[in-house]
Amino acid sequence: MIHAFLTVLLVCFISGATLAEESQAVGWETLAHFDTDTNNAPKSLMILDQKMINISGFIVPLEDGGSIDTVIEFLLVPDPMACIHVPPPPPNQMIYVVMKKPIPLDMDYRGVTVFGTLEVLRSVKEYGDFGYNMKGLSAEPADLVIEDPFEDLLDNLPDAPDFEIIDEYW
Amino acid sequence: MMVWFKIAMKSIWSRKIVALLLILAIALSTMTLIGMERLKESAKTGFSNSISGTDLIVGARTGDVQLLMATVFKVGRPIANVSWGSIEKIASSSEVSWVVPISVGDSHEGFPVVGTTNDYFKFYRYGNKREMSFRIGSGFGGDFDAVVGSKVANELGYYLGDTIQLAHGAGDHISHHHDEVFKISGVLNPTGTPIDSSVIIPLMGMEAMHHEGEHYHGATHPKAVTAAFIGLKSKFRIFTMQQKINKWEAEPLMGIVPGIVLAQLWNSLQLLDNILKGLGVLLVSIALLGVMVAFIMLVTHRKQEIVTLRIIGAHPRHIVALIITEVCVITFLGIGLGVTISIMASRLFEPMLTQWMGFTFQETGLSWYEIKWAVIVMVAALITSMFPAWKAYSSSVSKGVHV
Repeated sequence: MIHAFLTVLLVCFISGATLAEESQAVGWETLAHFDTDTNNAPKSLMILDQKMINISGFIVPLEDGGSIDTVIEFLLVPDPMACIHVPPPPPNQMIYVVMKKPIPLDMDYRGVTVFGTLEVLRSVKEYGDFGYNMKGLSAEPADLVIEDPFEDLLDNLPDAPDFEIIDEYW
Repeated sequence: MMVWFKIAMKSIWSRKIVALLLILAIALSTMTLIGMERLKESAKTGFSNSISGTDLIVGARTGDVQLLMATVFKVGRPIANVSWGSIEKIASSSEVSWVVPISVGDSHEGFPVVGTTNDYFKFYRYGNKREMSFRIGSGFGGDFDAVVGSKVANELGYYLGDTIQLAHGAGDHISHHHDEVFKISGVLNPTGTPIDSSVIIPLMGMEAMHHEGEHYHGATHPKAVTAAFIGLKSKFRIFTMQQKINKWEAEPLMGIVPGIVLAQLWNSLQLLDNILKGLGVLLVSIALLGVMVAFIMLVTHRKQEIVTLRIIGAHPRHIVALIITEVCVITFLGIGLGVTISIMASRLFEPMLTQWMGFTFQETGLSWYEIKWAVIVMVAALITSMFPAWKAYSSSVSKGVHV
């Protein structure tokens, strides 16, 4: 009990750098194991419930923190939402994050890493609140590699036909 | 020390016109700089406070910023309506928790008129998920009741039970229509959002206003509305619902997530803001350069004065102090005037800002960014004053009293 209390104290008062050591890094693949159709989650996922984790993704702002350049409630998704033409992520690839304090929106330039307590919701209501909630303690800028389909396209362009430079012209 | 301050003041006084022009130049440039900042800060909180807790806004297909401005800030209006059938169908979707339909585009004495249902007062949130509350009265009891925002009530002196005539059309030049009489059933508490300057009436009352002569009696709903605010049961369904609305088959609709559009709006405004701030800094620099030029020239003109001061026992560093004091006094007066003008201007232009952008100036007093800029300009002036001061120092030392 005392140990748990001390851990909470530690978690509350130490900076993000130490939080990184205290929290478990979680990837989106792990979260994808939640089957939102059958409402089944493997044990490997359920042990993360109510645990301090950190996960990197992109912010979809929902509520700002009293000033338009900050955000306090958002959906964390694996891909930047700038490409709105892509199909929306499935519910198991979204985390509904409520931060303790507002964070600056421009932190999300190349994604953010959010530290906080994960909550795996499994209520069986139709379109109910299944999915992931997170009580965010802190966040820091991440440097995620953005997979831009347009860049792929540019990389895979067929080689331009070689033009022969005819010297006689010059 | 006081003596030097007195001499500095007298020296400024003897060069009234130059000093006045310098003060004016500094005042106008600081005013611009502070005005920009004030506008930005107001926009930041104004945009942020206006909507909260709404997951989607649905309207006819248009620009997403346009839809947000029309529904939340009551500025402009979308080009088409949403049929009532679509609203009902959306409301019956399993994802949807609540729907508040609204109709905009009319005005009363320059204040926007919003047609909606009692659910507006129940579900619409502003600031950090704050609910609207009534100062007096309550929501609509009948189709010809009206609820007014606190600003409307204050400025037009409306009270519970007063009757107002609403005419169809926006702006001051209203096309003549059969006026409907509405009775005020409630006055809202101030929110600091565009709600304060809104006249809110039931959708059916608005329908009656628009369809003169036609029998609206018996109908329970309007044919169409401008848009609807939507709350979902789960945040995880936002994108699914948005896609469903964007692919609506019955009519071209679009759904926007207010938070995303606000962030986009802010991003696009930020470039403009940076340009304006850059211009402001440039203006202040030009004004300070003017001060520097004027003082360098004055120092050359004031050789006799400096020499006289030296003869009566002034140390060269006293001369330096004199010049620096003069520049600082002029800059200080300039900043003071600039801040005063900017505060007065923001009071003067407030109604226009509300009408154009739908938000108000947050603070009309002195605020931290004004103090910040005042200090920056003051420090810049101090640095500026070094050059003429050094010139006065070196000439007074090297030339001594030999003129």
